[in-house]
Amino acid sequence: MLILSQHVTDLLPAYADRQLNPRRRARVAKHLSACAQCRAALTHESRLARDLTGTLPRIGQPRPGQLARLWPAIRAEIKRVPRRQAIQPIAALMPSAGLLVAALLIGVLGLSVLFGNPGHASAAPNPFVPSDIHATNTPVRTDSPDDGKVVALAEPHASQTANAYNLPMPSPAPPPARKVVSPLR
Amino acid sequence: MITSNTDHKSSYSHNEHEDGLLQALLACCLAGEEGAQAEFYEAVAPGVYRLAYSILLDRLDAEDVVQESLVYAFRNLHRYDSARGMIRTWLYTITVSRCRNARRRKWLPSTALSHLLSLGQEPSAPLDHTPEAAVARMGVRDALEKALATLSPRLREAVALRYGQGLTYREMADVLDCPQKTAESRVRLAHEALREALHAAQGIDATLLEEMWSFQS
Repeated sequence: MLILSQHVTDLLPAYADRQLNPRRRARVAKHLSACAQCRAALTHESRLARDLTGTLPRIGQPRPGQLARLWPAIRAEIKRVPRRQAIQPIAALMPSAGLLVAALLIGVLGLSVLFGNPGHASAAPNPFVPSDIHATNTPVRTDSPDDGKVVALAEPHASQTANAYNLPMPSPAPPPARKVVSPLR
Repeated sequence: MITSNTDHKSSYSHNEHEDGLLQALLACCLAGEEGAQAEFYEAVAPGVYRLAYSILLDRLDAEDVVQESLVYAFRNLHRYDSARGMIRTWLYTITVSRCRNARRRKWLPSTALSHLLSLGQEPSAPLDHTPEAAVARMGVRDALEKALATLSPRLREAVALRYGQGLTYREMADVLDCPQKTAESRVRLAHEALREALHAAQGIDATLLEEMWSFQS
């Protein structure tokens, strides 16, 4: 039989403590009636359970007057209004901290959307400039190709290029200065 | 038919009778009767202290837990629901929770390092000494207390509730907030661990020690 072939060692402490339900208890009893090994194990479990029941309540017995000494402090603590209760009337009028923070965040975001600068700068549309203007935008000439020096002229003034396309003429400006760009930089 | 020789029927009725008295005291406390709180404290504090001590194995920590647990209990007496269990079960739930907090606060391993290294302890009895001499030197209670210290906190809670306070597995499950099967398996594991610890501490066969305990009691 399956029940008799399986040992019930795991159930013995609960059996010794009389904590098994009737069905499991009957199953263990049936096995015990046929298994000497489990009967011997039950003897040990029952002894241990009995000794623990007899000994453990004696562990941690308070000393005379030990707990009476604690009572004044406990009584004083009970009478004192706990901090959470003390602030409760005020707290009841206010929304919870989480809601408050959320409302503040929403308010700040709303204001920034309405009145503030956008979070990221969108590129302004480039004015139409013909590509050949760009081509002459940074005139570069080489003074001496041997030493590798590149001499870049300063930005050409608008008057030098724009008038070719009938664009409005800016006021005349001094002649452009020469910039020397060292190849070491 | 083989039956266990442990019968808890009388202790159950005692518990129910005691719970009836505590319920009456609790009602007096809620009504604001003079002296009811002190009486309630006197009735429950020893059990709360024993449980806290059995779990923490430290008198000062256990006192702190008594204080914290009972301050909380007195402030929340109106929340106790008799339909959900006995007053002691409710108090022990609070106590176990405070014990866990105390353990976390201390941020220490559940077993003291000195215990692991066997520092400051008497050397275990040589095997040629008589078992009677070993028991005389270290009483049964001390031997068990040292064995309890080797258990994990969860197993110690189970043993303390089951054998120290006489709770059923069902009540243990309520206090420990776990399924009844878990409470049952914790008791079984605690049995195994205690056997090993007693065997290691005494250097004698645990069965022999149990027999001596039976003889002493």
